[in-house]
Amino acid sequence: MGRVLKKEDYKSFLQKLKKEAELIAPVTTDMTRFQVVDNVDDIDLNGGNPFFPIKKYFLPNEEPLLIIKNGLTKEIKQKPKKRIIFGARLCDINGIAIMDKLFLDHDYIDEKYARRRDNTIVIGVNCLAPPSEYCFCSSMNLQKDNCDLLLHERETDYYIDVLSEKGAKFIKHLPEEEFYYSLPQTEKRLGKKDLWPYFADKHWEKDSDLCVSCQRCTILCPTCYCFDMYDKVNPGTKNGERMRNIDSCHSKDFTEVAGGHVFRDTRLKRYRHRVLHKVQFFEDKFKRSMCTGCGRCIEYCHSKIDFVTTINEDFK
Amino acid sequence: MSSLSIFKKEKKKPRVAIHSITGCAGCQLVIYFIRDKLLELLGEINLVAAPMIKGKNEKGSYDICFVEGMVACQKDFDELKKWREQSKFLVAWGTCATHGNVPGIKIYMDKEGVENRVYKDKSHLDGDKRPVVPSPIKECVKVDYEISGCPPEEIEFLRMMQRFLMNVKPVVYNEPVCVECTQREIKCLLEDEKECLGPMIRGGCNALCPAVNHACTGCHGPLEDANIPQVLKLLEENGIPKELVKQRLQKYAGPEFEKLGVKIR
Repeated sequence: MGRVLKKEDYKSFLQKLKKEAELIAPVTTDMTRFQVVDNVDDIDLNGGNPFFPIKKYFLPNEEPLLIIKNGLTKEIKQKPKKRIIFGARLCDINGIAIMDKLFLDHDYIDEKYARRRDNTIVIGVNCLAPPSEYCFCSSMNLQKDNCDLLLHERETDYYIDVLSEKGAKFIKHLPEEEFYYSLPQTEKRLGKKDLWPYFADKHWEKDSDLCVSCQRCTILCPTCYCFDMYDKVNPGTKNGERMRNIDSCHSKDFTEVAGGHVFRDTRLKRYRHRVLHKVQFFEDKFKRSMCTGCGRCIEYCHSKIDFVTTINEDFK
Repeated sequence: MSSLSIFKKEKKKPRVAIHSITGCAGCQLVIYFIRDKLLELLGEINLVAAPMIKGKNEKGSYDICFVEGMVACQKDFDELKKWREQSKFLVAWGTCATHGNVPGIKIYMDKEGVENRVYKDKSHLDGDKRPVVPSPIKECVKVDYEISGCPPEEIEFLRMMQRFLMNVKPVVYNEPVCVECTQREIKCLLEDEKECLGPMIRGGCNALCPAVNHACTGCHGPLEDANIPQVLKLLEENGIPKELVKQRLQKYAGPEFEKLGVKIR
């Protein structure tokens, strides 16, 4: 059972959200980005899928894990800000569900991530049409139950699907309705999911030759969570911080081990690893594809390398 | 890379020198501008020679010697050789030292013409001031470590010193400019059909230029792992004149690009 929000009440609904917590939503300037909203009039749901996924609010590009003081370590136990993320699309929301598998469900719970998850309410919007020609989410089996509320735009109103208790309390006053809506249908689809037979296919090289190792695909991926840790220490070497920063499998240093050996020393190996991790390895381990089909890795690639087309058309 | 075990058994503070040959001295200033951290650092090291900020400088036996600038005349070469002999670990500090930088553009120009244009009277360009082929310092002496940048970032200096003092292998930021640029959510200039060299240039600058809508001109020099032919193809697809790209590549690290197989003559 969902609720109905009239279009004339949309703005006051957003203002109410803004009073509750720090409101984050897509804002368009030179391009559309998720950012803290000062004025609800700035929110733009029609600017396409924002450049950077909402991943950044759960797993920042760089964050301190420990404080090192006089040679001793001290854990940082700061309660994160209460946040409401409004206007995330299903690909980003599913990205969070995939990161949950690693940071919350697996052998180890990442406290920092867990605290941010607890303090964030995610209000999604359903795409009526795919926001970009690179989207291929229809083929990635997206779930809608990973957010708290999901807005579906209709002619005169918004149907709000209630998906959690946390979300329900914001719209208790709105009239109830039962309504079935469909998730977006994309023209582009990933045709094959079992890629083991194509591990040695010569077409990987066609793509990896075009790769400039800029790492934009992994930075902008809603599910790429690989990170590096290092000690950022002051010159006295007794005070500083232990940092975690997002790393990328496209970097040559990523697989460098003590002694200087690099396991994935060629661009081909690195490129193939990224695609296989998304589509194959994660599936093998967690029974779910790691790719959500947002298409950012194709759209923002300098060389517009399209692994979906390669898999669909070249792997035979 | 030479052994870093030089401080393992010594409890004495490492003797550090900061020296300069032909350059604008901006790289040295980066070190002095770390202010409070410099004071903290001075408790851990013995800054025995730093002619820019010290009156009395010791001549011999350095544990670490930072050299900024490139070899432009005989005097530079002689001094560099002397410092090399006096140091256990020599660091090329800044793009002049590592790649030749702007003074190195001379190798792509008519040598006489450049000298005539700069000096009205060339009579002093004699003896030890006699110009030699402009070259990064690794062409003249063995260099143990390189940190490029015009100027390099202060964090690179701090990281290097911190690692020295902790007895671990130093590291430089070794990712392209695109990494920090994308993390800062800056609109891609290459996508905007500008002449940005970002994907093949070593970052660490926090995408300083793209952040103010200025295409990366490559002041940190090329990444060893860069896919240069593909980046050049992208620039060509953006309609950037070949001559402009050539000039950009010559500007900071011409010899290095040539070594990586790019034709820029």
